[in-house]
Amino acid sequence: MLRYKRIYIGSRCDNNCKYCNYKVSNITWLDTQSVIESINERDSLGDSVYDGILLYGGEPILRNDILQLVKEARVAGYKRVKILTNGRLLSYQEMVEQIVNAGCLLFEVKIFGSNPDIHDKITQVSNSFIETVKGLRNLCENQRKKFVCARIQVNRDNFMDLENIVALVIDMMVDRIIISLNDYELSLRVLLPHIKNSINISILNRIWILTEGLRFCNMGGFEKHISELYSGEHFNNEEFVYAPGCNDCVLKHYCPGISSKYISIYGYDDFKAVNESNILDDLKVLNA
Amino acid sequence: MPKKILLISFNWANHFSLALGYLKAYALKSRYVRDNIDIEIVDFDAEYLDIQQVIYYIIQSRPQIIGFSCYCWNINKVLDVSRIVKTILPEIKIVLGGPEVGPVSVKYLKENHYIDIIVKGEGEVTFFEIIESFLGMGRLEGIKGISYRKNGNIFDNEDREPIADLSEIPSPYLEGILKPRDKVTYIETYRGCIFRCYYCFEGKNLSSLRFFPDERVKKEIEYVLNYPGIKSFHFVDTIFNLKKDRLRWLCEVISSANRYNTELRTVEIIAEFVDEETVDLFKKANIKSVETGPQTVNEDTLRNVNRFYKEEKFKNGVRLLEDNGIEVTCDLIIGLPGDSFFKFYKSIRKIMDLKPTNLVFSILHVLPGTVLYERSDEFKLRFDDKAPHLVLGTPDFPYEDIDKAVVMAYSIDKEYNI
Repeated sequence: MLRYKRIYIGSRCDNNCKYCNYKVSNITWLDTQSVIESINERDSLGDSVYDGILLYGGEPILRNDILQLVKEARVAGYKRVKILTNGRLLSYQEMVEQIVNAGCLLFEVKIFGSNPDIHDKITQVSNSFIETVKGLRNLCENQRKKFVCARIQVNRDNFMDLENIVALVIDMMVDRIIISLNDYELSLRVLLPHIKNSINISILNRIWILTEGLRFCNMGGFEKHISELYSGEHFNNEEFVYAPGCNDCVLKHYCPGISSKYISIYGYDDFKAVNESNILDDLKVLNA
Repeated sequence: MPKKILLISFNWANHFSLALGYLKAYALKSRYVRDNIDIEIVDFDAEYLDIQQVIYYIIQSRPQIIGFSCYCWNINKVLDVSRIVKTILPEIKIVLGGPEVGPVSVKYLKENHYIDIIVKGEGEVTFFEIIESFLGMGRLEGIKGISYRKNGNIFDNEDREPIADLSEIPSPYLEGILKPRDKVTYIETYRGCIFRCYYCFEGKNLSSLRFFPDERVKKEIEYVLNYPGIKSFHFVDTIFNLKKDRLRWLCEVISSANRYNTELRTVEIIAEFVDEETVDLFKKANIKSVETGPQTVNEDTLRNVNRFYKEEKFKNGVRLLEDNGIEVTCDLIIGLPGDSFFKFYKSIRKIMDLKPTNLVFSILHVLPGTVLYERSDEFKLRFDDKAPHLVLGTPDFPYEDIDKAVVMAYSIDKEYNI
């Protein structure tokens, strides 16, 4: 998958999501100049390692200077500018036009449910589902060449709705789906059948789908959908540990470990060492 | 009243068939043919045109012979039209040619009773001799390079050597047979390929390089560049930057004739051959975009398919071109023998790191006439023997993984080629 330079723009958001990784007590914006400096900053690896830039927060589109930031990123030489958004402001067609015209053609839209009851319960904002879905539709129906990814944050309030959410975004003809686990108090034993069903539904409908936060030992037969395999990145603000049995796992080298919070609730039973894996050789190739 | 021959091609994206232009140009060298035969080239849209429209056109034209130009992407339409036309007008002779049918001519004749003749290999001389036999000036038995049906039996004549001297083929542009159109006009300066990639039939079947005369190429370029409405055109040569001295000459010809800032787009190149001088020459010729491999970056796979790839030189070539404002499209093939799902992804990642303007994915077509087709058992390649001959699995890349790789590649395509 493509690599994006991640630019944090501050924590202000018009949703108030339970399980949000970026929710902080002091809600702030980074000032325009700071964000522009981050965009233009050359890191030690050199910017050539990146295929694009990702603006995330908080809700980037809430910023008054969002069009300026997009343009700055383009001027800085980034052909691909992606915004991670809840999509609500994209329910205004003019906003879609303005952002696309400013040069942002890639979007990752967070969605939590296939209906207002579930979605709005998680965002804790009424009417947010209607706006997010309208935003997604506006993006997908826009005639400009663009890339739209639906990011489904899965947690204990929506995991049973997962297949329905996948079906909903497939219907909108998104270009990719990401299922991201951001609730480590959700039992994997009950979640995994929904994950695997969702993957099958998505591939059946010819849409590439990835997972975040799930491990090889959870994903037997579905390893190709583990996002971290391609990115090598783990974004959850969790403390990871290894189970005692992990030492016997042939894939330990490629695994960041298990959430310590999860272990404290459910123990190690859901994590079995992979003794033999036909993708091990391929993984070595991939990481060579 | 002259007899009528329809030469038909089904093309994508508003293209027209250069191959049929060559057939007509060669045949019309004969005064007898000119006086007795009306040859009409018809290009149909492969995507949108209903075959009923094609059949209507054929029936109205009442030809005695129909020649179809056959590729893996249009053969099914060709067969549908041929079958229906032959049923309506059994006296019409159906002649097929092109890379899809030539290498497996007997198989196509056996499976499709309505086909009369299949041309194997280069068609110009062979098709002319078919016309002669049709006019009573020869017999099919004596024509090299055809398989045909007679009295219910199938005969496979010996192959014909490729035309040694390409100057024997008149230019369809200069003869007024083909009219250049913007964005879809191709010029061919030579035939053959120096490489022998196992998934491609060019190098295998047309191994020695044969060049059209310089003077004729020069005239074609000048003609196309000065034709009204032409803003960009292409070369169909397998490798545009094949030889430096020829490239210098070609770019000088293009540059001298280019009065209207016409662009040259999507020429096929070998990135490893690109150096500073090549880039300067490309800019001089107003080349805006090029297309190159490497199809895969994995050493075992490259070896399996006999593909030339030098990582550092390739990287250098792509960088030089991109840094000088020439768009590079890199091609990768899904399903080559030796690749696996993750090895394919490794190729994607490696090529994305070079930051070409575009990345194009295609699934392996195990085409008749290629080494992969002929040695598919050895490679344990499973593929659909019906066109478009898509690969269905290899020992390292089972069907399910190929299918997922296609879905993944489509998504990356949308994201990368924004």
